[in-house]
Amino acid sequence: MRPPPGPRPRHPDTTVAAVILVVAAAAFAATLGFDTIPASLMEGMGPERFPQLVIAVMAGLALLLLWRSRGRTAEPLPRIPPMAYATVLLLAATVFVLPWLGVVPTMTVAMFALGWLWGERRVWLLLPVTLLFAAGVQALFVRTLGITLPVGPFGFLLG
Amino acid sequence: MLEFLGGVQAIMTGELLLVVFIGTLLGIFVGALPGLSGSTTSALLLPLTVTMNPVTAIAFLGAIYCAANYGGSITAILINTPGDPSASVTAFDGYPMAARGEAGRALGMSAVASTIGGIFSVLVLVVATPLLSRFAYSFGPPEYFALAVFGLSMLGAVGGAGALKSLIAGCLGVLLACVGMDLTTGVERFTFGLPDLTDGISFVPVLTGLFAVAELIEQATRLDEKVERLPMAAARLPSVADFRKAGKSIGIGSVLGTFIGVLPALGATTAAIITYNEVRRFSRHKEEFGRGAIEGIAGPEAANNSAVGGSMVPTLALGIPGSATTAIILAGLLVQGVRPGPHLFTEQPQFLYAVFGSMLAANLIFLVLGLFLAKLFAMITLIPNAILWPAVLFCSVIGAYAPNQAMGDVWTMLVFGIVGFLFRRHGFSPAPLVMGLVLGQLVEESLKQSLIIFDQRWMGFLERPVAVTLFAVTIVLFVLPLLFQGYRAMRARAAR
Repeated sequence: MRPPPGPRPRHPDTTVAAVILVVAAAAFAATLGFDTIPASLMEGMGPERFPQLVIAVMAGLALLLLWRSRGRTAEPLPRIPPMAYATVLLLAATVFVLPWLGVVPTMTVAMFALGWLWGERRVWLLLPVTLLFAAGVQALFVRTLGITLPVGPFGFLLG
Repeated sequence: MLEFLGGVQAIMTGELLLVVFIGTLLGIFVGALPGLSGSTTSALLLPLTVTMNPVTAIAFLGAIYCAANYGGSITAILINTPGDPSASVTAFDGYPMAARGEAGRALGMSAVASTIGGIFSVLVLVVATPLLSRFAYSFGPPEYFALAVFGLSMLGAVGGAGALKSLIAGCLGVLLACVGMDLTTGVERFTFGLPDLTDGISFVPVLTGLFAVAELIEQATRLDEKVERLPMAAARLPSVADFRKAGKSIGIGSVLGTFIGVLPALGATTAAIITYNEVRRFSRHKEEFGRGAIEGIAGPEAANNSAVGGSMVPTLALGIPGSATTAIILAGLLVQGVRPGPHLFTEQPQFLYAVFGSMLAANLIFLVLGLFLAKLFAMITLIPNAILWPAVLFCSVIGAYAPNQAMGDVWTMLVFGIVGFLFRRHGFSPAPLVMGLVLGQLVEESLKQSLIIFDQRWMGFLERPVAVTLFAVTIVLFVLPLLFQGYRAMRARAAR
């Protein structure tokens, strides 16, 4: 059977290889900006040589990947569902407010919010589990292991 | 051997045994939870080990590693979803057995085969590690450079479409290890003016991000999936008839698993897959495979647990990780200021006793726990994802923040979580990146030192027989799969 007319879909590895080549080029450009060492003080490889060697190998492998994917087709990857984006946004927001609100209070709210976002509507289950888990973390990490965490304005609630 | 067993006995105090027991319990628990593998748990609990002394820390992580492989079989058998990737082939025959009401028999065989494989590999570990260490004791920087390159090249030895991607991920890991101040010149590299990056990228947030946060985002894409959990009777010891039928499979699995585990970069999952194929090949009942063959459980389970001991051999003797989890364990030791290698046997033998002892104990403990509490462990699969994964997030954030108490590390964790998610989506495994990150410093330092020894002559490597041999093996392993792939691709194109 003949394939349908029109442009053939690109193999996902083509994009992957292209991204790696861009990363390699950017990394190589960054190595050119490293501070230089006077030749009289330099013994052996300069600080940029080893990364450049690794970048060259990586770029070579990316070109091989590109060559392998040439002319091949594959099913497009499934779309990333909106829930994944929402989860990443929640994570980023959590990390953003962490220094101001304190680790344990923020993570308690984040744990509840993520559970809710993922469809858990049984507050009678979600809330006690969240609070118990937060209390457990506080007891284990802060009280027992002596790890200092930012407490934020609600630190007094943790005792 | 007796000397080692004496050492093991001396170091296994009640406190250490308790830590091993907790590690084993935790290992089975997380191993049984789909998505939370031994690697993820080790990465997640790495910060906790920072507060322990190094011996306790490695015993704890070793116990988790052993037990997680067994734990993975529980969900593989009961819900057809391996809790740990190494148990993926166990589901082929375990789930059909559970479907016809033989879950207890399948779980019992899984526990016993895992224990036999695990103990066999620990015995090999006890014998092989000192031998390999003694051999490697005279290694200088050139040999270490060749060895590290060999270890990294093994990432591509698995072949197939993933080989190139694994090698690329390994290179990315090595490149990440370059971030921070260059130790020989004091020049800052890839820091982009950020003071947090001057000391380099910390292992813990990278590992937490790549394994735990990436899996969390992955879980967010699969919230609609429903799993069917089969009812089970209590796990029971295999009968004499079962042993007769599966004995050969356990033997093949134990030997193959240990051997594959010893090879750098090839871990328990590869061992289980290869063993499954070999066991089926040598079986008199090939037709039963895939329909609930007890041999199909026994072989891979023995293999994935024996690979654990095997992968510890290069990790401890050479400082080259044998698998993703041992790369994390190695990272944990580096965080503690301990660099495994041949000198460990003479300078700090207590580490080795702790590893041997904890792994032996963990194997025996999970046999007992597996046989008596499998039903209980199976119940943890009932924990809803919307409760479990937010708790994992909580632990991840604490874990990333705690070692250096730096917010930058939490951001690093998040960034690597997204990177890890995209990696998996495009067929990359995070494990090679971790291997590259862990080995990066060793590769660079040994290369620079070698060139100083050789007066900047690259040909100097050819004057070192061990290095030449390792380079030759590397080239063969690296080039041959690529040549075969290219040849196959060309033939396929010609056929079209």
